[in-house]
Amino acid sequence: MIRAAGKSMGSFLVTLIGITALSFALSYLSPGDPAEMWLTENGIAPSEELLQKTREQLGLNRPIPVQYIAWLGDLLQGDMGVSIKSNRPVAQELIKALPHTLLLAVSSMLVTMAVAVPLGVACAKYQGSWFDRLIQLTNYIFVSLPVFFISLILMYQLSYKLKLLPVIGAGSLKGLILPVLALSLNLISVYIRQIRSVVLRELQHDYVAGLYARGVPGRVVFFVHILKNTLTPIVTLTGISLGVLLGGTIIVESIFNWPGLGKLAVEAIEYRDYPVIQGYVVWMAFIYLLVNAIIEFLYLLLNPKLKRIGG
Amino acid sequence: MTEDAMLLQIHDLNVRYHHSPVVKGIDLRIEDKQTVVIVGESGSGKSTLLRSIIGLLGENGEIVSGDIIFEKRSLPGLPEEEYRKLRGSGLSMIFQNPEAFLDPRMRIQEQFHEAVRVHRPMGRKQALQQAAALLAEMQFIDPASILKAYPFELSGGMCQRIAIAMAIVNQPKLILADEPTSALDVTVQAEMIELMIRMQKKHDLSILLVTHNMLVVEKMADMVGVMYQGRLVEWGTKQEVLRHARHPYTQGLLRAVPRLETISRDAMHPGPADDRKAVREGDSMREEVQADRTPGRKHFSSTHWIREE
Repeated sequence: MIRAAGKSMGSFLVTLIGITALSFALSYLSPGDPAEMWLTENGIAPSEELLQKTREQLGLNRPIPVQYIAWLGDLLQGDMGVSIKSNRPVAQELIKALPHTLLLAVSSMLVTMAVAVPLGVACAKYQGSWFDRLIQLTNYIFVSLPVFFISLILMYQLSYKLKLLPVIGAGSLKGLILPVLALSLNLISVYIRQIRSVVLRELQHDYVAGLYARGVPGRVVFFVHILKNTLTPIVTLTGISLGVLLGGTIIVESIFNWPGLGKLAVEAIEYRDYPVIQGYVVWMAFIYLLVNAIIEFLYLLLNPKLKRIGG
Repeated sequence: MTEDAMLLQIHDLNVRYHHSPVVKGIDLRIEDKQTVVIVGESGSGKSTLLRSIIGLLGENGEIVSGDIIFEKRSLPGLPEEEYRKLRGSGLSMIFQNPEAFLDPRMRIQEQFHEAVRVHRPMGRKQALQQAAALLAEMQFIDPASILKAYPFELSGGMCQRIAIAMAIVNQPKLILADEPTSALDVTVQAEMIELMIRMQKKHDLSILLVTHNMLVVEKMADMVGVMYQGRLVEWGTKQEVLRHARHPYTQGLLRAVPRLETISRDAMHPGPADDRKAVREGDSMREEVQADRTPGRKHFSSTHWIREE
């Protein structure tokens, strides 16, 4: 266990250095001058002298590798730097946006699982029935529609036409419904298809016939044995989705003006706010490592074969 | 033997898979504590016959006509819940690849407990005590550690012994065994045969076993049926079928077992023609069924596929 944790930590550091170096380089290669943006944002007309001074002030005049190493050194001491845009510590900016993203991500995943698991299982159980066909058809529609389109339709129908929900409503439960719906509808379709397919594959295994031959009732075969044995692929899928959602869903957060990490990242990119971009990249790396570690731990719990090999 | 004494009777059973006939007009009877062994090549319909008895033909299989009567109850017409209760308690099944028929992610003890619990209310402790006693009968030295194991931690032979124990844990009358030795290596096969014979005597079981292993026939069978292309082409006692086979397919089948001296000395001599090949040349053969081919004690062979000349 300790060895596995050490290995994970090592791979985290390598990944962190790799992706932060890459994002550092890409940020500087992209057009736009953060010093100029900072001055414009503060209502100051940028002159060459002012720009030079601001670059010095923000530490942008040093060579890029030096800036990167300095940033990495600060990070290891827990300092993620200060946002160029807001002049507040990056950690504070991330912590402020995090609860919003967490709320949106966890709510969307819960709704997705609550709807997709029973429907996916039911579709597999009644494969080829009118119910299965209807769900498959609905799935095709929601899988083909892009999230921004679903968001706009929902906004138009539920907020503008029917006036049931607020267009922008961060902080209130009502305001959460639309972004959660927009994210979940697409995810539900993907999950139903996956769950249906893994359950159908599981049904082909010989042990299912063995259980029926011992007189085990169909509902026990389905909900105790088959569902338990299909959890591994479902956990993988959930982990990936949760990783994406916890990084902030840029489109949905922007459309619904949801003050989460996705929106923060988009604004930082527009503003060339390098410290915030780097902070966001570190957060994403951390989230993916965490989700991977949790998935691997769950694999051990769910698959006794792995546990025995590991032990 | 009267009709009442019969444990299982199959009347003119016809089964289809994917709309193709697989079992054709089978008649069969099994008495109490009797072992009936059905032999035949792969695809002859042996396994389908067993699955139609236990009602696990799957979506693509169906009983087209005929009847299966187990303890005076017609099985094809049985409501699903009653059929379920019968599986594992009245009749049990042992499969060819035992490891594959156990839930790979559940400990043996949980599977035992479940197999008992679905038929009669029994606490976990009591069920496991019963399981441990049965495993000891199955010659496991340390049943407690076996119960704690997962199927993938055990060998094929061990899994098969567990499968047998699980099949008899609810004291069924009839065991259906689908090639129970063919996935095991030769040394384990002999042990498994001995074990099944011992269990049958101790627990008063009837066994309907399908195999293509003639050693199983020699050691276990009271009655032998030979299946060919979905039909029961020969039926008789072990002595009758192994020593005085009438049907060319049975004769060919016996000739194909060169090292089994006890079966038939005659069968050891190479025949003048390849009977199996002759049997396959079905186009110029006539289909004629003996007037009375109901298998009881009497030796019969079908005249199916015998050349007209």
